[in-house]
This record gives sequence, structure tokens and C-alpha cells, in this order.
Amino acid sequence: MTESVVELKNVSKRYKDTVVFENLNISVKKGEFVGIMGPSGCGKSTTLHIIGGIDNPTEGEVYIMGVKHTDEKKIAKLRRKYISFIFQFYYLLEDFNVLENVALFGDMKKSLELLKFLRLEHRLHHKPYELSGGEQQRVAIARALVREPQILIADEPTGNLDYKESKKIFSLLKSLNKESNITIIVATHNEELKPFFDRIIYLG
Amino acid sequence: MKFRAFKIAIRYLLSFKGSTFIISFISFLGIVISTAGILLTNGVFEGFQDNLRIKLLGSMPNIILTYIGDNSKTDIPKVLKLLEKNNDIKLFSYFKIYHGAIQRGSYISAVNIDAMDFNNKKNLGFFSDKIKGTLDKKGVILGSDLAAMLGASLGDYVSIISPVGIQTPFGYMPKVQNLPVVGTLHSGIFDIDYSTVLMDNDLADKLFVNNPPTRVVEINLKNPFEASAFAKSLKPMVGDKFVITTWIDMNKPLFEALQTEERGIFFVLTLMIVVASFNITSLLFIKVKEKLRDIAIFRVYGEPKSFIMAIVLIQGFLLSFIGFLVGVALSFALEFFINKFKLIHVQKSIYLMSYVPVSISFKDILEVFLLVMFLSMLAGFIPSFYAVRENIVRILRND
Repeated sequence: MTESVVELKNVSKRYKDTVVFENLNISVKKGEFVGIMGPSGCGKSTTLHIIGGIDNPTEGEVYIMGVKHTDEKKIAKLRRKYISFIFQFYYLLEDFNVLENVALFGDMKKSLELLKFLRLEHRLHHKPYELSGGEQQRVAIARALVREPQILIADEPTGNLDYKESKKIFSLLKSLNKESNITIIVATHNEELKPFFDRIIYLG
Repeated sequence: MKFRAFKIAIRYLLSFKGSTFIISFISFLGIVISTAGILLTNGVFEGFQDNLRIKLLGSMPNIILTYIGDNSKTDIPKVLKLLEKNNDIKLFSYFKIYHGAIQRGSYISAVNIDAMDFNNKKNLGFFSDKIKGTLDKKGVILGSDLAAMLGASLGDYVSIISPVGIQTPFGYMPKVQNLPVVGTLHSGIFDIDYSTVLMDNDLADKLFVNNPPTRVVEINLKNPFEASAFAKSLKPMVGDKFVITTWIDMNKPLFEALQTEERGIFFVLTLMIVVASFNITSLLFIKVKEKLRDIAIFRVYGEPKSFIMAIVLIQGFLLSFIGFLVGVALSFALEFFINKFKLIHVQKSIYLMSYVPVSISFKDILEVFLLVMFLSMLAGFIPSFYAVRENIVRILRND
């Protein structure tokens, strides 16, 4: 039986009087490509933040690679070594060029390889604002992969891209999942991308 | 990790956007001006003290031995013989000091009569190269200011009065002798030039026959700054019959007062750096606010809080360090100009010098460096804590 890399047990999240979700139970196994879907405001991003250890649940327990969410130092170490994130708005560092944006988070040689693989070799010394949305997202993917993570968390990674570009990004993620056995958890509301997932968790 | 933090800090520091550039420049300028201000002010004090020391050393003996025994005829020649053999001594002289008065016309003034052996200029020791005129045993040499006050020139006659002169049925009466002025003494010290008369031993002993003199040996060393150590080594040789005073003892209150004043002004000027550090704190707060999203990304990728804090602290450190270096360069440039064009004038009759040179010392540079670095670190701490305190999710959601 494959081990769970992420486990949410009876997890609830509330902001003052607003209940985001209650008693959520999720288990993600190593190498799975999981989609989290649901309408806007159902708590997809919050769930991903909790899975990635950058937010805490109001109630319940979260285990990331066997480490409980309350052990903040260990969770930060896990994030540094094994967990990477991709965001809808890319969040690239404006003061650094494409190559630096990736290499700051890992090895220079690996960064160059990844950027080449992602067809960005002609953009290495460009600043993020000089790139298209699709290119920026590919830089964000390179940044996420440069540390060779075991878990990749993507929050609406194609939310700002057209269908053609979204499909390319998802194909890329799918091939990474298959070839490198990376566990990928993606939040999206785009129904057209459902075929890419091994399993879908619906919220809301 | 630290090098990466350094690289990021440099990039953020060089990322000038609108008002950040102006605030960065003002913060930088604050450090430059306060560094140069402190170094120059201390340099003026150091220069003044150094120059004063040189002037004092050139115009006063390094060590004075005052005889307090009761057998001068045997004790003093013994000590003089000992001093002759000492290699650390540049020159020395023995003389007697009588207290008397001088009169010319209606003007009369109390003076010290230094009685020495006029046979050889060398015997005048410390005074030997400060005399204009001749060593005529039948005349007197007046301190230059005294001569000017009396209106006495070479060849003019002045009256030297011995207070305890002739014995009469009514007690001792002053004894007066008219003597020609054969030279003037220019020591550079107002007290000496205003109240000293040099006379030959034989002439003085006859005139002040009933006056007990103070017998002194004045010593000038090859290295005047060794005076205290030399005085210590002299003590067992001369015994209790001499009181030993060094030039350092004689001027201690003056230099202590100057040191206290220097420290006081240093403290006040330190406040300039404190204010400059406030500017750095404000700047770093703005920079942290600007880069909150980047900070959130670093933290999402598991960078420890110390990494984020290092990025903020390094920015403060670099700005202060470069400001400090430019401040030092500016202070040296100003030192050069002030000294070349002798810009700080003072009254020579009061300060023994016509202008004050600036002398920036390594000690001052080191002190200011440590102070600037300490305050810049302190200035960076609050913004760096602010940078790691913010909630990652809140930053990302607000973006």
C-alpha cells in the first residue's frame, strides 16, 4: 500500500464568524495527481495553504510527510526540502531576472536545465515584467521544480492563462508527475482540465 | 545562505523606486555627514592637543628635579654626574631660582631670577637656543614679554631688587642693582617670558646673598613621551632629596580638561549618528513594506526567519558602511584643506599657536566605525522583526 504524504483529519477553518469548511478529511498518496475543485470561495486555496503548511487549521490535525502541522520548524524545513508552490499570480521576484528567480531557490546548473526544458532559454536575462503570462508561469514552475520537490502544490496555476496555454502547463505537470513521481495537488475551477487528474476532491 | 542573503540585500538596496531613492539618499547622507562631523571635530581636538604638546615640549623642560635637601654642595654635583652618564638625556641644566623684583622707570614687577653659569651656553640647557643676545656675565637676560612691558631693549638698564638685601638696625632692607639688558628669552610660554630674568650665578649670589634659593635641575629627554618612566627610574638614584616633576604632571589638568571636553563633544555628536540611524529605520520599514510579497515567497519556500532578517539587516549595514567610508573620505579631504590653508585661526598669545591643525586618528575612525555599525544594526532590527512577523497567507491574499 502506498503511504500518504498528506493527511487532513477533521480539519475546520474559520475566520471569526465565517466558516470556510468543517470536518474536512483528505489523504493524498505519494505520486498522485490530485485536483481540488469547487466554486469560488469554497476554500480551495485555504486547503492548499493548510496542506503546504503555510496556514494552520482552526481545528483538526494535519500531517505532512508524517510531521504534525504544529511543529512549525520541521514544517518549514519540509517546505525548504520537499514542498514547492505555484501560484495563480506567479509571484516572481521583480528585481531579479528569469535565471536568478529560479537559481535563488536552487542550483544554477539545474536552473539552466529546467529553463531550457521549459523553452525559456531565450528569456534568461529578462525581468519578469518583460514576459508573457504563460512564460511567467513557466518560470514559476521552474522555480518550484529546481529543488526537486516531492510534493508540488499549485493554486489555480492556469487561472490567468487561456485554454491553449493552460493545457500546455497541465501537460507539463502531468509529465512531471509521471516521470518524476512527484505528488501534485492542484486547485482549479476549470472543468476542462479534469482529465489530467488521477483523482478529484470536490469542496463546497 | 548568508551570501544569498547578501546578494538579495544588495539588489533590494539598489532597487530605487520614487521616494525610496530620496529616503535612501537622505539616510546615506546622514551617515556621511555625521561620520565626517565627528571625525573632524575630534580631529580638531586631537590636532590642538598634539600641537599643544609639541609647543609645550619645545618650551618647557621634560623633567624638573627640585632640591629639598640641606647639603646642596655635595648632593647636587653627585646627581649632575649621574645625569651626565645617562644616554636617554638630550640636555640638562642646573640653576638656582631667586625671587625678586625688577624696575624700570615707574614700572615694577615681581620676577623669578634664574641664576645659571653664563660661562657656556650649554649650561643654560633648555633655554640655550631660545636666547637672543649675548651671555654677558655683567648683565641680565629678560623674558621677551617682560622686556616688552618694561620697554627695555638691549643695552638699556633695569633695576633688579633683592627683597632680603642689606642688614640694618631696623632689619633687612632691599638691595638694588642696576644692570644692563644683554639679551631676551623667547620660550613661547607666556608665564616664563613674562616673569623670568636670567643672570649669571656669581652676580646673582652676590645680589641675593641673604635669600635662600630654590635649586633645580631641568632635564630634556631624547624621547619626551618617556618622561614618566624615566622619572620612575630616576627616583632610586636621586633619593628623597629631590622632588621629581614631569611635564606630564605639570600639564595634567589641562590635558584632562581637554580630554573631558573631547569626550563630551563626541557624545553630543553621537546623537547625529543616532538621528541618521532613525532615517535608516524608516527606510528599511518602507523597503520591507515594498518587498512583503517577496518575503512571503521566501517563507513559502521554507526560508528561515533568520534569512529574512539577514536580508533586512544587511541592507542597513551596507548603507551605513558605505556612508561611513564616504564620511571618512570626506573628513580626510576636509582635513587636507583645513591644514593646507590653515583655516582655523586662534590667538597665538593664548593658545601658543596661530592656527589649529586637524589630526584624524585611527582610534577615532575605529570608534566611529563601531558606533555606526552598532547603531545601524540596531536600526535594522525593528524592521527585520516586522518583516518576519507578518502572516504569509495574509500577504499573499492582499496582493
